[in-house]
Amino acid sequence: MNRELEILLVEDNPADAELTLRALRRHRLANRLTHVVDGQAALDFFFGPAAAARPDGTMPVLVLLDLKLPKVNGKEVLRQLRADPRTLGVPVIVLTSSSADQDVLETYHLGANSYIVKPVEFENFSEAVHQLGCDWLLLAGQPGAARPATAETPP
Amino acid sequence: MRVFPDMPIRHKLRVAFLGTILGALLLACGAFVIYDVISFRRSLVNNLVVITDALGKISTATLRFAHETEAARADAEETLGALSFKPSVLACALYTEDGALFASYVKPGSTIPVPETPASDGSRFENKQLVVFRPVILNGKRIGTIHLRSTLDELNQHFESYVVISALVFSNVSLLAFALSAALRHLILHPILTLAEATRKITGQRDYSLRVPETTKDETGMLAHAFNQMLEGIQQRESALHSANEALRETEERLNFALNKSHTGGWELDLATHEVERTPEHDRIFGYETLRDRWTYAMFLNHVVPDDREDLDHRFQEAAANRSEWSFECRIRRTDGEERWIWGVAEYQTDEEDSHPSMAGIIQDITGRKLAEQEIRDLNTSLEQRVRERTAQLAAANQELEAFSYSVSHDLRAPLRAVDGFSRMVIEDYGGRLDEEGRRMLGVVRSETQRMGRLIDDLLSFSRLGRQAMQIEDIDMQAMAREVFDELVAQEPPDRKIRLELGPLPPARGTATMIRQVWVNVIGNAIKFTQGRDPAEIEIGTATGDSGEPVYYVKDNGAGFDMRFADKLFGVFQRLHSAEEFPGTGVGLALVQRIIHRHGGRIWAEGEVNRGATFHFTLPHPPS
Repeated sequence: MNRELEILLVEDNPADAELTLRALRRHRLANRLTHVVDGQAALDFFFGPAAAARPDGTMPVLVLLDLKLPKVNGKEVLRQLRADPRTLGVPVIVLTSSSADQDVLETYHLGANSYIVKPVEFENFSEAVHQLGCDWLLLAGQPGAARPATAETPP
Repeated sequence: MRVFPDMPIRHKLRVAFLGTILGALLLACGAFVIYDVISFRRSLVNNLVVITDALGKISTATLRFAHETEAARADAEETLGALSFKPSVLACALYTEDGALFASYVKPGSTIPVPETPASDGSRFENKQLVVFRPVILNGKRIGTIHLRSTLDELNQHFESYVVISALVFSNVSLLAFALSAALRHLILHPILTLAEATRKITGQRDYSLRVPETTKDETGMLAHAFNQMLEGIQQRESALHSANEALRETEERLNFALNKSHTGGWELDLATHEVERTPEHDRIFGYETLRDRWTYAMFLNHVVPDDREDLDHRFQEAAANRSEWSFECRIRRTDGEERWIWGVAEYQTDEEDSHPSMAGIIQDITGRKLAEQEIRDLNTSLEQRVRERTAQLAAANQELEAFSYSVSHDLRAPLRAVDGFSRMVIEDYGGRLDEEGRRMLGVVRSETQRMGRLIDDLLSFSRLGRQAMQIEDIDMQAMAREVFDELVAQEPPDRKIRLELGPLPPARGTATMIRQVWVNVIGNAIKFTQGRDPAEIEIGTATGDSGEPVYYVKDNGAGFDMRFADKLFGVFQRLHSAEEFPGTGVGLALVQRIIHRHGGRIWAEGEVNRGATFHFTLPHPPS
């Protein structure tokens, strides 16, 4: 797999973001992780000037999407991603406060691939990834596994 | 002149009877008299002819010698004079051959002389006298003529006596006939008169139970019999007519009673004249205390308020033209000026010849009903308004609740996650620098935040229940209870001994996921509160409720509860045991009660401290 690993975390709550980053980092999965704090920023990441600046075809391999976001909420972000052919196939994992949340069902209808109940701990992350058939993500992230020769994001 | 035909029968009979008898008698007497007079006259003539001939015979000798002697004449006259013994002979004469008077005798006192010459032979009546001329024959040779004249006294006397006898016979026979006729008349007339009298009585008294005696077997008897049969028939018909009339009268009375008591006016409108026959109630409805002399369709229309008039009239004309039913509701202005609502219905009626078409119907004052209807409409309108307002308020409240739930599930959880997550981070990153007590305290922080997370979860599911859609379906309660029990027991420590008695449970109807939640909580409680019982005993069964519906129950031999706090069992966050004794959030039974209530059922509990508890619930939806 020669593609650059890139995970986009869309999360406005800094404490939740920190907990997520910590869980992933401990399993060395956070090296190519971009963190944005609102829905508009997430849309800009895909469709804004920054996206245009990126080399063609470099889409993130996974999006972790919180639903309650400032500016544009998570459901709207998801809807727009699924409406554009470029982002149609990008796997999206929805972050939710409760598995009983009515929103979870709705996001499935909108095209979410899976969901994780917060706080995002590595165990439930790996479970969701496994469901998506992206187990290579986990292998890549295993401590001591072969890793791309890119610099680790500074903590 | 119709004297005879109009006469009473008894007179007719008398006239007929007497007339016949007396007529016949008269005829017979007349015939006898005439016959007798004729034969008497003949015999009188014969007598006289014989006497004459005898005298002639006697006189032949004298007559032969008539020309010779005077003595012969005297002799002849003496012979003729012998006739004086017969007083009826008035005169007698003897003539010679050549027609000369020879001898004569004239009754003394008689003035009529004998004729000088003889007339022709024979006998004839002249001037109420009999005159005879006879030839006098000797040796076959005529030698003279003899003449005799006689009175008819003898004949007259005979005739007179005959008339007297006849009159006597006639009068006696008449008397006899009269008496006989009276007797016969009674015999014939009596039955007829009885019949006549009976008919007179029946006509007068109209008493058809009277009968005519049937005494004879003749025509009058037959007549009487036929008359009696006719009476029988009339009596039967009369009685049938009477009972029919009685029934009709009763029906009419009932009808009138119904009409009066229901304040219904009856009327019949003649479609040709538009005149209306009514009951007094009809006029009362229009405000008249007593029945008016006359009422017409136009008068009715005048009472109808102008706004309703045209439509009403249109519908009336239509019904009359189509010969259909005419029903209406309209406002009228009563004679006292008050406006009232009336209702009416009528039917087209006509006779067999279709000569008298009419509309017959009823009317009622329905003002009270109309007012009540209006009141109900007003009430309904305001009720609908209130329902709309309440619904709007409820919808707003629901929306607020939803926003609240959302806020709870998202915003309230976020700080909890942070507390829990960062406590763990402290333990992971700085655990080495803390002593045992510090780590324990952080452990308490973590477990309490996790408990709060569960509380929030329970509360959320409780509030969501109200919004969850019902999907009523058949549920096998026994299988469901068994399944839930097995699942829950599997989570218990393997060394627990729990004995289950699961009676046959009738099926129910409800939303399966919700009913399952009921079993999970109720059976779960039974398992939880029997901790420490050896063995724990749980009984699941049914009883029959007051209205025959099944009452499901779950009974245990666990910790039980104090009945004083029974009302708190089903309150949210209400707990009767400490969290250390039995863990729990206090939402479970509140959730169960909410599910049962949403299904229209009831739930209640009985218990005693340390002696177990029983939870009962009903689900009124019967299986389809």
